[in-house]
Amino acid sequence: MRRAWAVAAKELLDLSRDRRALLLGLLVPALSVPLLSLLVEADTSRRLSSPARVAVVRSAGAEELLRFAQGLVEAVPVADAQEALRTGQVSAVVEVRQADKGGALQEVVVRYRARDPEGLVARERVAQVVARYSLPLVDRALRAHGLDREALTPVRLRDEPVPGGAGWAGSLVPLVVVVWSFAGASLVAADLTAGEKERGAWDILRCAPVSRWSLVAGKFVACWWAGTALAAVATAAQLAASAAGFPGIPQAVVLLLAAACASALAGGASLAVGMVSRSAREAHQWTFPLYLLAMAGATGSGSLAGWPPAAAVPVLNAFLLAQRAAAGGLPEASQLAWAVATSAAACALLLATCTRLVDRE
Amino acid sequence: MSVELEGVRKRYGPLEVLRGVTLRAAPGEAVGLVGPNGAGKTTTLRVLAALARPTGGVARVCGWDVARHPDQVRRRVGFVAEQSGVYGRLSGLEILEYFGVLYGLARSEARRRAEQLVSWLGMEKFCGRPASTYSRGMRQRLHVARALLHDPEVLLLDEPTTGLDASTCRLVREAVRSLARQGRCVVLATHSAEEASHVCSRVVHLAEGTVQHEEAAHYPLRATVEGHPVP
Repeated sequence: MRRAWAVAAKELLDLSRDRRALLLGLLVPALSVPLLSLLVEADTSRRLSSPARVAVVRSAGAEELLRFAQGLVEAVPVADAQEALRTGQVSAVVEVRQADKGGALQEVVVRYRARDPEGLVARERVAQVVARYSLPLVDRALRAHGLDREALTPVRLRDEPVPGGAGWAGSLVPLVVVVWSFAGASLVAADLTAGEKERGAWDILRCAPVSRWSLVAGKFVACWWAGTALAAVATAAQLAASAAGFPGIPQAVVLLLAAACASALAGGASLAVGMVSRSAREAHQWTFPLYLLAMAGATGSGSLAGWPPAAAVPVLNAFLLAQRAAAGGLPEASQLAWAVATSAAACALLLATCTRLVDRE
Repeated sequence: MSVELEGVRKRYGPLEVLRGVTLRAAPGEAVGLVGPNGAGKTTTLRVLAALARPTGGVARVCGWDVARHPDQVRRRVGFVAEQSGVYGRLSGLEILEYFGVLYGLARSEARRRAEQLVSWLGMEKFCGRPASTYSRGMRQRLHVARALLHDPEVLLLDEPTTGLDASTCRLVREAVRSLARQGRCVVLATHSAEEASHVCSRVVHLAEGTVQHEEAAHYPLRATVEGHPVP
């Protein structure tokens, strides 16, 4: 245990003197994470608040419809409407069909890219324009039958927006926790194993009569600490950028715990990869797919939130903890226990593998 | 015997690097392993340092089988590799203290021992600086000091004077002689037969993974380095 601590203390001291790593580890997440969030949030808000850009196939009916489009749709003049839609110059193409010239509009066709959020917004906006156009016609028809609009809407829907909500930036907090935990732990692990092999320092360490477990445990502590610290900085920056702000001490503790769980796994896996790699570059090549896998798991875990076995899947459960805490709630004790226990078990398995790999030639 | 190799073979994939090396060295003896590149000198030392597991034959250090008791072997061996790295952000003294603790010394004892070796190898002027600022000679002295921290019975040196200036070469050579004189077994790998004959009592010629022949190389044993007894 004393030797394991000596290895950990040396690695942490070495890390604390690495000015470039410290600067990048603190400044990059502290600046890039909120900046990226703010830019994307501002862009999303601009797109949602500004009129949707559509191409209108010219006709007399179209001109009439566009009189109701103010603030909702901006008609963009284009030579070829379909080409403009394909290239993203406009979000939708509107074609108006009339039963006869000068008569009422019969059909409005909206073409939009179904998987494009801007296309969906444009389709919604065109629907609102059509509703604006239709309303006086409906009123007139109802009055002709001695009815008014109220008869068609027996139940009213009233919007009452309240302040709060984490916003787009807040929804990214769980992903930030997992991604930066992996980034911090795997970068340090590659340096402390494959990097040392490249520099010729690995063999002199292996020459020392230190148990393989102490060696692995000491290096793991440094990776774990780096991953958790980096995730903590990035998460704090992300929370600062989100509309929700600081969620509270208990939630912050849960976020830190989620980062620690993700870092433990990332550290264990990256150390094992580093032990079988001959250079830091090779270790990064092997770690990158793991990193992508964690990101994919984290991104897809939102849909698995209600699936009970998800609580027993390492990384996924850390993400779910972070998701709950970032939303201002607290996970159940059993959820916490599962996350800690499964992460610890998976980590122990990885570290046991590492001890077998230390002396690999 | 401090070092015993009996028909040691070592294979890396399809390449057989050692093809039945047999070698013995007693306490107080300095043995030079001489041969061209690829002769198997470094691999022989790596087997003795329990860094490489022999694929055939038996290798023992102070009676301990390197394959079955690597930790016992590591307690008794000090190894200076040809291209050892240093922890550039730590000072020489911090590195020596760190390895002292890894070799089982108490922190205060590790510091005392490190200071002794620093003084003996003339490292006082630079041992407080980050190791990344060291010249090759300074690094080599640091590695020799590290290898001696736990007062090993067997010292393994791989091309210890390559790239060093004349004065540092002399210092390292005299250190090797002094250690042998004090009863330690030294195995030194070098491509220079001249260096081996200056430093060692016996020279073993290796080629293509086998011992070609052995010869005695008489040298004047001296117990000091620059007038100071080996700590």
